[in-house]
Amino acid sequence: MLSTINKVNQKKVEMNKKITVILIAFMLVLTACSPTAGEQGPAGEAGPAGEAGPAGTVSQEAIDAAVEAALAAREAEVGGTLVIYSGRKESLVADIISEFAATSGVEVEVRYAKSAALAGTLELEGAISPADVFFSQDPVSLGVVAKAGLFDRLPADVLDNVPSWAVDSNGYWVGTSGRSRSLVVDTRDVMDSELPSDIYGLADEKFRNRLGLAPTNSSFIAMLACMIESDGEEKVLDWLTTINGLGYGEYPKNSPQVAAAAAGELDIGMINHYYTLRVLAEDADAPIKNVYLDGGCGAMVMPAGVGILSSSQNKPAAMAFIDFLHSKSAQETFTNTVYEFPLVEGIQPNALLPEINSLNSPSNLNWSALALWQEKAVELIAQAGF
Amino acid sequence: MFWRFANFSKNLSSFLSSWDVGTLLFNTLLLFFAVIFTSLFLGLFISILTVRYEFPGSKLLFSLTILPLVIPSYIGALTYVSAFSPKGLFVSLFSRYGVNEITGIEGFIGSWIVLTLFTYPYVQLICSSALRNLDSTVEDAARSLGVKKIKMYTKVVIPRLRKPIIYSSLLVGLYVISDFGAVSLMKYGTMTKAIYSYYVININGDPVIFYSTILILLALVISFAQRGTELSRSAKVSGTPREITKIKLSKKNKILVLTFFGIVIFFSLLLPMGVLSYWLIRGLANGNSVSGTFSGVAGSLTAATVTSIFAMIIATPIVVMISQYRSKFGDIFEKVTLTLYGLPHIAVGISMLFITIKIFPAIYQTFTTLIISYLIVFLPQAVGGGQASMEQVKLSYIEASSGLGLSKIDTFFKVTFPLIYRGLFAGAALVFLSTMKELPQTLLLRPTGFSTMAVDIWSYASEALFTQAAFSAFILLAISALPTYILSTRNLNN
Repeated sequence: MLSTINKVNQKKVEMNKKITVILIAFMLVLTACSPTAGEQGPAGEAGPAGEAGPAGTVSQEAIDAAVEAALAAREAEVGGTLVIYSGRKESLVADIISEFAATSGVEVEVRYAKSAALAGTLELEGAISPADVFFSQDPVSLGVVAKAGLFDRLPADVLDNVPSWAVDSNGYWVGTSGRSRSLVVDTRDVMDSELPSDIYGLADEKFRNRLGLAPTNSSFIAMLACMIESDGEEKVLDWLTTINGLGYGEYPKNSPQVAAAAAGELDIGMINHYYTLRVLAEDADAPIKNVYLDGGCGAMVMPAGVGILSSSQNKPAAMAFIDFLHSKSAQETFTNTVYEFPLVEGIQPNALLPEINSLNSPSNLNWSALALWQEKAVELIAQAGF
Repeated sequence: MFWRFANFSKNLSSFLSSWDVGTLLFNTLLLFFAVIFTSLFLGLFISILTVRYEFPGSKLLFSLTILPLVIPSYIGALTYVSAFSPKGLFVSLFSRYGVNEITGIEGFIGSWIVLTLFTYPYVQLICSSALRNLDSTVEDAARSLGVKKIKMYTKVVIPRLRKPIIYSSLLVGLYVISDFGAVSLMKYGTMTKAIYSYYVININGDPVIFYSTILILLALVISFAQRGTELSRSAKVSGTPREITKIKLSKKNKILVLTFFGIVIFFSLLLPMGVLSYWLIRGLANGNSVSGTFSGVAGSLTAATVTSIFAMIIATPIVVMISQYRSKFGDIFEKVTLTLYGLPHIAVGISMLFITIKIFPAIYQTFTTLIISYLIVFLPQAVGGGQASMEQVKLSYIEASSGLGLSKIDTFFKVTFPLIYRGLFAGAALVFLSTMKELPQTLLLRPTGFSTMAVDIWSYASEALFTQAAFSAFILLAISALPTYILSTRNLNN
């Protein structure tokens, strides 16, 4: 290679052209040889993969046909490779996924990222997406993908496995477990009496420099989407601006807030309930507890859920994965090791969990409507100066 | 890469009014200049001390001050936030002495401190290597003429180091404007932080494209500003590099110098390592397991090795072209590579994502795409390294060589390459280290199931699994420390 470069030096005029050629050649060599260098690269799988799902209105026949195809997919033999885009964290679901791989014989590849980022990626990928299923931690991200027309409809019996609040009204995705918004409080520094009953009550001088939140967390954004839907943009922007003015601890995710509260660095964090329970399960004496707000979006109970991409090349395995997530074993794992609410009937919720009916979540939340507010919620976060 | 920016046209004016672009731009530039200033000061000061003066342990201290290079800014920032948060480690350590709460280090000051501490080694690495190759007879002459020390450095040494100084401050400056980890953790609102907040929500959205465009324009402006400074004559001085006689320091000055090194090493190396050790020990004592934290090691090593080899191969002809022939083409290439380096990695990652999805779906989420996108941003480090040493390959050498009847090939291998290979290796080593640390592009473009240590550390840390994060960080630091150490000692011995 170096000798070639030297020949290039012979004539300055020719030099530029030749070097361009060499550089292009290097790039080609790189392109040609690197898939072998990184065996992980599933170059073949990324090819074009069928038509995009129907985005607009769909005839009843088409729906029936799709459902029939899905039912047929369940009968088919399960195997091959399943690519899961997981917005659920590795530490929470890796065990469940490996158990699925072990029992079904399906080879599983998982791409972990934030749910909202994966939803955006799926939108961008469209029909060429390598993903078979999208496993999301929040219903709003699922709504974004459903809105883009990228999901197949799921068979009715799958949707019927869980309560109606935890499924998409059009049947594009189904809930797998429930989680509630909550506040984690440092019991040494926070008295119950000073806590508000509503999320808006946190925008108060007495909480100056005592609050924590994770502005890029999908569940936090879902809560804001709910607040915009029920109370309007202006009120939400006011609330965010006030919180920002009070001084707050910014965290990349929910779990560090719990750790910070336990360490005495944070008084009140806005989180999902199970992070606190995870810590309490390990150390019952940890000086923290969950406070569930009484009503409003701060008390929202959301499903984590899953949908099958229309472009999937392995729908039988995708269907088997959803069935597995609704199985007794997976549901028990969700409640006993992740401390979420099981959604399938007949599964005993973990003892650390409050009675789900005692939580005053806003009723009749329309998840697809919330998906429309996701972008607005992010804009408000930026406008408020976070 | 630019075609997608053309796609966005929607409501430009509403963007300008609803988001405070002015503030973000001001914040970004303020940090840019502040970090360049302090990094240059630290890096040059250390270079001059270790290359020109004699004091105990100078080689070891040189290596130790280079080492912070291996600490990614997001890990550095994480340890600083943890140590100096209002009720953090520092407070719990000193609570018995009545310290109950401190004003946390965050915002501009926090970002400034952290970015300076983890970028000055770029200046040190590039400038010390150039300084070592710089003919010291001019300084001896100046000294014999009675020029005072400080004046000698400002009037004699630093002007001759202009090129490496400009290069290293560009590396630092462009690192600053493309960094997102440190500024996010420090809650300092810069352009990259804005892009990051939007990209995790909607990668496709206008804000991501809008801010990326502005940041790219900024990088263009910066590299054109460099072009302006280049137009004035380059200070090439004839003479041959020879054995440097180091100046001995008085006892008082030795103590001052050692104290200075102690302070730098404490804040840039010992403090972050201390916090990591604390996390690891506390976690292990609580029975946390660190098994399964090795998955990223092979990924990091493969990616970094492949990238640095290709970077060196591609950089060699560019370096020769830029420095020796001053051709227009070489000049453009120089600007292009530098501009690319300044692109925020998120912007490059997102662009590559768009391009591979829309145009080359066959290489979407493959190792190839990942390596190409590393090369796009890190190639300038290889070029910069080579170019710094290319300064001493004078045209007269080449002319003499061909006058003696050597072919061009022989000239390259016998004259040019021996003079520049050290610089090229230094550049390649920088690429290796940068690739090991790289985060946003890796997250976006890696093949499903492929992981690097940086990705592991990031996901462990963001899930508050500090034991595992610290363990992975130690492996990363250990692997990076070896090439860095070899690099710095090789530099010293020659």
